[in-house]
Amino acid sequence: MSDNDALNRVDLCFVVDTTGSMGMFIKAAQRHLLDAMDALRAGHDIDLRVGLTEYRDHPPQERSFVTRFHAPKPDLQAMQKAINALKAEGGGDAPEAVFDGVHAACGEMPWREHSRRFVLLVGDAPPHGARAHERREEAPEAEPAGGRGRRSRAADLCPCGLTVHDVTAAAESRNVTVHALCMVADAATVGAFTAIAGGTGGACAPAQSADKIVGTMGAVLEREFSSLPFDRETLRVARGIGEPDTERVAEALGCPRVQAAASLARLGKRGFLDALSAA
Amino acid sequence: MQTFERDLRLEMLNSLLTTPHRKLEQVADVHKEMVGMDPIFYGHLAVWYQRSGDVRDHKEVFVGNLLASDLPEHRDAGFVLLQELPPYQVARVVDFLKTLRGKLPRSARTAVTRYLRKREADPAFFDRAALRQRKAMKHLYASLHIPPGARADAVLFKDTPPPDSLAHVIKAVAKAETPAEQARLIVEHNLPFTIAVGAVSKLTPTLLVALINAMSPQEVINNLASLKKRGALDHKEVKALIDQKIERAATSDRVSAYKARVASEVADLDAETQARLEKVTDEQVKKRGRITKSTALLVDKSSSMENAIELGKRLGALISGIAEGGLTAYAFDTAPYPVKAKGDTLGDWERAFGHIRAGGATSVGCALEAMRLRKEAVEQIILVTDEEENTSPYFADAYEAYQRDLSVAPNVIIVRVGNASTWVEQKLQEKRVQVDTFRFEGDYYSLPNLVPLLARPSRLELLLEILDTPLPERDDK
Repeated sequence: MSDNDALNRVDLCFVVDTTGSMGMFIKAAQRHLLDAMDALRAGHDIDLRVGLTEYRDHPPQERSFVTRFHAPKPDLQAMQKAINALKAEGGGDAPEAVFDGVHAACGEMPWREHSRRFVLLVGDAPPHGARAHERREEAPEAEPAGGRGRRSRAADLCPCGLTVHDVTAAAESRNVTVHALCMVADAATVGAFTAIAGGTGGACAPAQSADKIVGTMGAVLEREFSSLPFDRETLRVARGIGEPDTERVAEALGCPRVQAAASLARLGKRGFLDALSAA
Repeated sequence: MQTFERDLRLEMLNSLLTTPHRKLEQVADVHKEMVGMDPIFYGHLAVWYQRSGDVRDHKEVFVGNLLASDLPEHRDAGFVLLQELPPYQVARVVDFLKTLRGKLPRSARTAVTRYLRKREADPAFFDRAALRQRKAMKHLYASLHIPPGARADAVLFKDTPPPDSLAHVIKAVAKAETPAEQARLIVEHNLPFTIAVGAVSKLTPTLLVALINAMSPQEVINNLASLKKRGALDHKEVKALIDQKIERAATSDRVSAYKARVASEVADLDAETQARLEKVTDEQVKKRGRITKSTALLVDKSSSMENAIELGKRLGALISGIAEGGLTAYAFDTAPYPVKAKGDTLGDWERAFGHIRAGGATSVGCALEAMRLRKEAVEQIILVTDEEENTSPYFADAYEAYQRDLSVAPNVIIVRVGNASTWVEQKLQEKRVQVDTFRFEGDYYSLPNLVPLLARPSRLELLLEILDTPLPERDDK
């Protein structure tokens, strides 16, 4: 497959809280995930690949697992089965390993080259470090060696030391946009989920507005993929010219410069122009 | 000026500069708050904005609110300012007062009556207004129940224009038997393009030349898409005439910088015409002020900031032509990328950012840290970002080190893009750094609003300039 064919790749990783408190929401969450998959597949000619990360909590609150990753299956029906098999158990105290879930998804999902990448976070409890998302903590006295961003008070930290900064940095460095669905309306959870999503350019919505999140992701896809034929032409021309020169591309395509610039921005963000830029 | 008073006024100014246009209800709400907070300052701000501002909606709401003010000085100022507006804007002021304020004060009716009578007294003045903005003129007479004079009645309502009127000439153009005769009438009476084009059945190059000759540079720019559609750009001589008009637009006092840019983007024009329009934009922006302070433009290119890169290009082009104190530019994710444009046009900045792609995590402070190490001292920093920094060095910390090592305290203007937080602003305020924010909502028309902020030593000086702007007085009392 040439990288030209990679233009319609979309990689999506669901990150789902499967602790006991999600018991009453798990059916709704499963439905939202499946709806999201269907909506993304239905509206566009896209090559969709889906992964799944479950998260619970750290010992001693929970001893089954902190995060558990389900790699993308060869067909989406197999992933639907994995989603339907999710069970809500354990968890201990109220905060959960939200940061770990998103961080693990960003690191473990085998993101394909040039794909448009999303994480959809679904949960009903804030991360450890309830105030960490507010980011008003005191500045650290000393950054830890190989540090993971600013530290808040020890009591506010996730046991593994992750902060919202680490999570958004992990997502951004892999070009992943995080969207979040909040199954409850408490301020700590909404605030934390909003901070995670906002830090990557994504959005957070309550579960009652699940359609909104799916709609937002759909709108992003619409924007990026409705111009696929044009983007293919832009890529062909840019490669022919040997550099991503907006004016020359626009002239060759006979289109306004702003249209060529937008197309090059889409291609550039997904790494299609890296070889040209390095040349 | 007390600190509280100053902060309140700065807040008003910030709201004014950052409210997107074409959302009249939102604009009206902002103004309502401003009037309530500080009516005296509001009056001076209204007059200052008529002279220095760009956004049409704001101008109209200012005039409407002045006319409805409890203060006689404000009503008089509103009366004078209304006389300077074209008919369609006067109609919009009237509609604003009726619909969004719920009443039309007597002062407004008096001002509009004076407006119409002044035009009726000068047939040439009246004819041109009636020809170009017939619907708005009729709306003013009808909605305010102002009886038209006999000539106005014949032209606007009875459709029996007298032989010496332009409306009569338009009818003659429609009836003329040859394009040459139509062209003669258009040239002789200097008929506006948008009106005359509707009166001729077939556009020949001769007619196009006549029509373009009658157009102002701004009209040519506004109607470029229409002219292109009618084949004007395909004819060598006609195109040369259009080029001449665009050249003149660069030095005209009545041309909008950003209309030129928008025209170049929407009309699908050839590269040469686009370059001419860019020059118009650049020249017009230069007239808005000069930035004497050394300036740094730092543009967030992290994964979520695709829009910031485009904005960075436009800001670079906007600022570089007027930055007499020098301009340093960087893009950044977790590393700084120096951006060097070879000139000050949008094309130059497009090329300078040509290899910058959105991607990576966010260290807002890394570019400033690079400037500190390179000893690049500046007096102000424009930061284009969503403020969602997640990697060290953080901006406020880098600022502190920069200030300490280079012995400068640059003021910071944050241009917020996307789903922005207020994190960087908060941290700077904690360190008592002068920081202003400008919310970018995708409205490129609003960008020239930044120039007055960048061109003055501080916002306080801008406030003083506004307060020194005198309220105009009526000369008929």
